[in-house]
Amino acid sequence: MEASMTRNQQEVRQWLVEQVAENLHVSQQAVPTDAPVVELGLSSVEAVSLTANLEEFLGIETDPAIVWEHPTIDQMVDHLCTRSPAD
Amino acid sequence: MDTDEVRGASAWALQHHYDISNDFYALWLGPSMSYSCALFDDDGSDVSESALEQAQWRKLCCIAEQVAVKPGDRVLDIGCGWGTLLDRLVLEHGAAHATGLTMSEAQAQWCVARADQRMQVLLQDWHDHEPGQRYNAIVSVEALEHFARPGLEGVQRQRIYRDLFERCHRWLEPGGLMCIQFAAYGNSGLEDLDSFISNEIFPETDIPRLTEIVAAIERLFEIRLLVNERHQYVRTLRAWLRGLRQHRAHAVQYVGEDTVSRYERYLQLCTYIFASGNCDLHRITLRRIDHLAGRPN
Repeated sequence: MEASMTRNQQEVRQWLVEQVAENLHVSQQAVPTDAPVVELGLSSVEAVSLTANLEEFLGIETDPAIVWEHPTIDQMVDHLCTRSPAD
Repeated sequence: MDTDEVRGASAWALQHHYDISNDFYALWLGPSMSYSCALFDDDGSDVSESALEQAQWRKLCCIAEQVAVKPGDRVLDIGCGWGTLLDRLVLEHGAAHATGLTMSEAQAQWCVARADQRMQVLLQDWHDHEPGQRYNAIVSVEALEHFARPGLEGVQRQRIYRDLFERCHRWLEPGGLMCIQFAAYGNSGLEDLDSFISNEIFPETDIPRLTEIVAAIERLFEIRLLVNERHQYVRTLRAWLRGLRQHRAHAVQYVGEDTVSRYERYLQLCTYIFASGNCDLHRITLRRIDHLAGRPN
């Protein structure tokens, strides 16, 4: 990640929950933020699509392996928001 | 061609990928034009063009050293790409004859344009190669992935790989060394990987499993070294993706928006599958076994 972003932690977490729920065809309540999304059933291609959409949502470059290296939504949020001035 | 012979990706399929545009590949592969996993010398995260370039030269040097090329040697590179390793074997290690095989017309033209007399690049499938003399060493860097196609049965795949190594055995001098680098299924199978890659990026291509390669060399070659460098590939892919994005405007001029978007997705997906261990990246150094069943051959 090279640029900072403007979304806050809550917005990023909510967006990720929505995206994962949509991919898995489940309700948002069925997506725990502390469980690895791959274990919830997200495939590699869905994980990479999520990254591409995330770049658009945040307006910053995002590493394609983020879902693997920061496996839960909470960990992704921490990673993404570390450098964010909005937090 | 033997009518029972099964082959991997066709010339059409390979040209679909490699003949898009040499200028396009040069933008993100960098000056080395080395389209394979690099070898970084640290665990850092520098994916700049200069870090990639250094790591690519280090990889080429490593492979040349693995097969102990010395002045005067005859060397074969199966799937020679844009000829960078051939160059190195001749110019740095003093090979007297370096022969490269490629199925890509664009790569062959690129090589021929700057080859010196010691280099020979043939637009030829390895099944059709008939060397006049034996080689001292054989290398093959990320070509093996194309030697089987989706839909083949296990026994057909095994026949292809065995045929390859039987030929390499015949083509090598006694004691000759071989170094192969290839992407392989790791914690996955074809059904686990997205069809996007086999449909839109590498048609007619199905990568091997390590066990298939190990079975195919049995009693032909002994393994001297086997490494899995998948983390090096993650960094290489990050560097390629960075380069493509940095030169995106030029890339679009060369090949159009659709192709650039497709390659971005492909590099992203590959970064993920090597990071997750769905795919591995093996480099194996082999030594020719000279006495089959106790007899010299």
